[in-house]
Amino acid sequence: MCETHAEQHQHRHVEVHRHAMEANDQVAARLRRGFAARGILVLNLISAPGSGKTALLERTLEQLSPLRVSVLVGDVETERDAERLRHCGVPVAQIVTAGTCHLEAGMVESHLAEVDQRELDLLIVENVGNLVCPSGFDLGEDAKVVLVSTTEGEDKPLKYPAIFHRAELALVTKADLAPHLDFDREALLQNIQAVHPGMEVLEVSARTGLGLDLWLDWIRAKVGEKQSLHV
Amino acid sequence: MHELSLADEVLGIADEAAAAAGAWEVLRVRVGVGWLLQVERQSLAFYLEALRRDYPRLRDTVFELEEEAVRVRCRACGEETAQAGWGFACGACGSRDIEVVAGDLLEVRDMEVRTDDV
Repeated sequence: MCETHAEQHQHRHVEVHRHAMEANDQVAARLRRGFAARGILVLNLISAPGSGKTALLERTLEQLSPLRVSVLVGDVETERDAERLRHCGVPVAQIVTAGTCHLEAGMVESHLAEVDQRELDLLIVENVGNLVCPSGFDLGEDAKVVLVSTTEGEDKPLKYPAIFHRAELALVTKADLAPHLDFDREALLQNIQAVHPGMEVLEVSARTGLGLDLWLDWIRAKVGEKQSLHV
Repeated sequence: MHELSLADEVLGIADEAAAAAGAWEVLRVRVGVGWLLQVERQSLAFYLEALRRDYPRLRDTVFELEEEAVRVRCRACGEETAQAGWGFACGACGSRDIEVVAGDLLEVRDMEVRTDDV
């Protein structure tokens, strides 16, 4: 037997066709089935650090009663956000990712035990502050909501298009500050539509309460939709 | 930084597939990098390099990272078209009612391995 012949036999071509998210997606699918069985709406809130996710959640949680709500908060370090939200009187579990820049479905699953799912209408997941990494990780949610603050600049959707493409709703936060800034509101709205034509956008301020009623209505309508499917 | 998690998954999948094929060395792995994922290819390559020491079969593997463009299927006219940028729309009829059918995955496509069987 010639050498090249032997060599050919030792080399093999292997078709694989598996994707890197499959492990995450399997857990996410399991979570989604569980949430559907209980009629729980799940929202995945994603934004850059400092865009006001926690402040908006504080105002939101105060006004969502009688809906039964729990929150999972992802941060790279500390329990500070969870402590803030616990003052709103809802069960809150903190997920400390210890360096990981996004939440993965497995992290949500392992912290679900800290939340009583039997008595729940809505689970809000506050993702790690980051506009890039969380966008590709399915957590079993019904919708991703992206937040962009008026202080961040109107080109955010163009710089971080993936999350604006995947999210169902965009919240423009700190809307009360807009008059004090060189903020081009029209440009931001145009940029959002350029990335995600037809995307729903709400302008809100946690500080003044501006636009909060529309955001609360959006949540209530979603919860209603989910529960009508459940029954 | 999600490249770290993704690199770890890619190595795990390649190693598992190699083991299933009875291979003791992986020479080459072809990875499709979907454009929609916003994965930094240089960063992914760096993490693949850094993490592969945990996988003896992958010590000398060449990873070929191939960018995969986004393709959408139109729900209105049924055509499948490639997309050049964001704000996806059907390339045939212009409809925005589309679903992404390619370019949103990081896929371990195929590989060349060395096996013992002659």
